[in-house]
Amino acid sequence: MTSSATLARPASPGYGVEPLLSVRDLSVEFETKRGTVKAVDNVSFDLAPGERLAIVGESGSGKSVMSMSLLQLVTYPGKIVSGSAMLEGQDLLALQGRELRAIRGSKVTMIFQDPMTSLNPVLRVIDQITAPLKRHLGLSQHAAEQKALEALRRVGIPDPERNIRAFPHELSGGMRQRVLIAMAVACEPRLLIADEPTTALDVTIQAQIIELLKEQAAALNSAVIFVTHDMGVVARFAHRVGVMYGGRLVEIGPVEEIFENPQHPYTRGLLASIPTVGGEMPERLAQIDGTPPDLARLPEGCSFAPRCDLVQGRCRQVRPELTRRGTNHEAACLVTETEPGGAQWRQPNH
Amino acid sequence: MTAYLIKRGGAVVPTVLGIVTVVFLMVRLIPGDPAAAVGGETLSGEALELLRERLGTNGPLLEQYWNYVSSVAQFDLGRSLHTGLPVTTMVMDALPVTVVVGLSSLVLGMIISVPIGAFAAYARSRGNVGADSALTTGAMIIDTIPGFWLALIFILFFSIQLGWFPVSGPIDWGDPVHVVKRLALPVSILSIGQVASVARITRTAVLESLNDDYVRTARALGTPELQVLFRHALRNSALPLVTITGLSVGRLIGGTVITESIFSLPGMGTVLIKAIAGRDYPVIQGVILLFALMFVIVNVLTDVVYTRVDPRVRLS
Repeated sequence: MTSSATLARPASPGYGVEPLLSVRDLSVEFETKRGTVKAVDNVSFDLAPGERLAIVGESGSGKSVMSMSLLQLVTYPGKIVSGSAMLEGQDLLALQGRELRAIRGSKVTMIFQDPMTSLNPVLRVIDQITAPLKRHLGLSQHAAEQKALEALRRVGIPDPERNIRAFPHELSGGMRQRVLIAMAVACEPRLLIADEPTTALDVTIQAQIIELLKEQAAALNSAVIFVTHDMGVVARFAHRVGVMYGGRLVEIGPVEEIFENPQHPYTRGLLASIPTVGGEMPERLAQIDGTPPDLARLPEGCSFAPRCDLVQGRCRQVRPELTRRGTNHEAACLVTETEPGGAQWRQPNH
Repeated sequence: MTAYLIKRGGAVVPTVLGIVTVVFLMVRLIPGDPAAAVGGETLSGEALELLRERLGTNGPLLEQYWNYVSSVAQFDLGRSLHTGLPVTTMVMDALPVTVVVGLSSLVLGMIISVPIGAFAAYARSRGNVGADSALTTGAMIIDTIPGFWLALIFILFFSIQLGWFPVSGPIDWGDPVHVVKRLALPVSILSIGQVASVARITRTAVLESLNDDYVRTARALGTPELQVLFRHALRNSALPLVTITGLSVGRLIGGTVITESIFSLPGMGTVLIKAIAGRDYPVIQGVILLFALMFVIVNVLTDVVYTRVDPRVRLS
C-alpha cells in the first residue's frame, strides 16, 4: 500500500476550479492553566468540489481540532481566535445560532473517531437518524423514516427495517460507524469531514469503511476532509494531502507528489516510518526522534527544528511559511526551499 | 421482567422479616415492663396483666415473636390502646394523604431542581462559571433552611397575611381546587427540601454527559442546544437521577412526619406523632412498619425504572 511507485489515481478534480471551501488563517487556541495553547496556527487551504483531502499528523498536531473548528464544534476552553472558512459564499466560522445549525448536518457533516460512543446510547437508531432529516429537509416522520432506511441500505446495514429499531449497543462497532456515515450522508452534504473514522475499528473493517466513505462521497460528489494518522489510508483514499505539525500546516500537495517528492523533513519522516509490504523488513522501522512540540511553548523558529535532521541555524530564528514546490504543492521549510540537495529525496528503505 | 420481579420479590422477604423483627424488638427493648411504661405506675396487677396481653408482651419472648409475625402476616397490626380501632384501619385511612403529599412533592421537587442542575451544568460547560456558581450556591442555601422553620414562615406569610391557603381543616377530596389549596404549602415545603441534592446530582451527571461524544455528534447534525441539553445530555444522566430520587423518598418520609403535623394533615405522620405522644405502641409499630415497607417498595421500583431510562441496563 505504501510503495509510491504503484500509486495510480485520478488527478484531483480541483485544479483551476472555483474552490468549494476556502480556509484562511484559521487559528484555534485553548486557555489552560499552563497558558495559551495554540492548537491550530494560521492554517489556510482550499478544497475543490468533490475533492478528497487527507489531513495527516501525529497526536496533538491540531488536525482534529482544525477539522472540528470548521463546524464550530470546538468547545470551551477552546476558541477560534481568527480566520475564515468560506463555503459557497458563507463564512462557516462566522455563522451563529439558527444559521449555524442549518449548515451543520446538511451542507457540512462530520463523522467522528469512536463509533462506540458517538451514538446516543439511550435513543434508538431511528430517532437519531431521522431527527436531522426532519430538521433539515422538513420531512414528515414517515418520509424521514423511508429516507433513513434508504441511507442505511446504501451504507450496507443488513436488514435495515429491523436494525433501525435497535439501540446502539445492540450493533457492532463497524455497524455503528456505518450508521454514523448514513446519518452524515443522508442529507447529501457538500462537505463531509471525517475525523479518524477508522482508528477505533478492526483492521478488516477499516478498509471496508474507507471504501464505503469513498463510494458515498463520490456518489454525492461531496468533498471530504479526512483526518488520519495512517499514511496507508491516505494513499488509498485521498486526492490531496495536508501535513500538520505543531498546529501548522507544513506541507500540502497532491498525494503522489507527497509520496514521491515530499518537501518537508517531517513528511519524509512520516513516510519513512511506514513498513513496506513485500519489501525487505528493516531491522527496525525508521522513526522520528524526539517528541511533538509543547503547543503552549512553541519555539521561535520552525517548530520541527528540534527534531529535524536538516536543521540549520536560521531554522531556530525564522518561522518558515508555505512556499510553492510544484503544481499545487507547497511546503514550509527553509532548508529544502533553497538547497537543491535538500529538495531531492528518496525513501531510505527503497 | 415478570421473572425478575418474582426473583426480586423473593429477595425482599428477608428484608421485610428483618424490619418486622426490629419493630417487634422496639417495644421489648424498652427498659423495664412496656405495659408499666404505657399504663403508668398506678396500674394495678390485673389491669397491668390485661395491658400486657393487649401489647402482646406476655409469655416467653419466642412465643411473643411468633404471635407478632403471624399476625403481621395476616395484616393484623393490633388495636390502638386509646381508640381501640384496628391499627390497619387507622394506617390505611392515613396512607392516601401521605402518598399524595409525598408523590406530589417528589414530582414538584424534580420539576424545580432538574432544570436548575441541567442549566448549571450547561453554563459550566460553556465556561460560564458565574452562572453555574449562582445556581449551585442558590440551591445550597435553600437546602440549609430547616423545613419546619420555612413551614412556619410560609404559614405566616401565605396563609395568615395573604390568606391564600388554609392551614387546617379536613381535606375534601371531592373538590380538586380545595385539595390543591390545602396541600400546596406542605407539598412546597417538602419539595424545596429535595432541591439541592437533586440539583447537585443532576448538574454533575449532565456536566459529564455534555462532554460525551454523542453530544458532539448531535451538535454536528444541527441539533438545537435545548435539545442537546435535555434530549441528549439529560436523558443520559437519568440513572443517577433515579437513584437519588429513590433515596430522597427516605428523606421525604422523615419530612412528612413533621410537615403533616405542622399543617395538621390527617396523614401517617400525624398518626405517628399522636401515637408517640400517647405511647400507643401498636400504632407506632404499625406506622413504622409501613414506612419501612414503602421504602423497600421504592427500592424495587427504582431498579425497574432503571431499565426504562437506560436500555443498556439488564435486570437479572
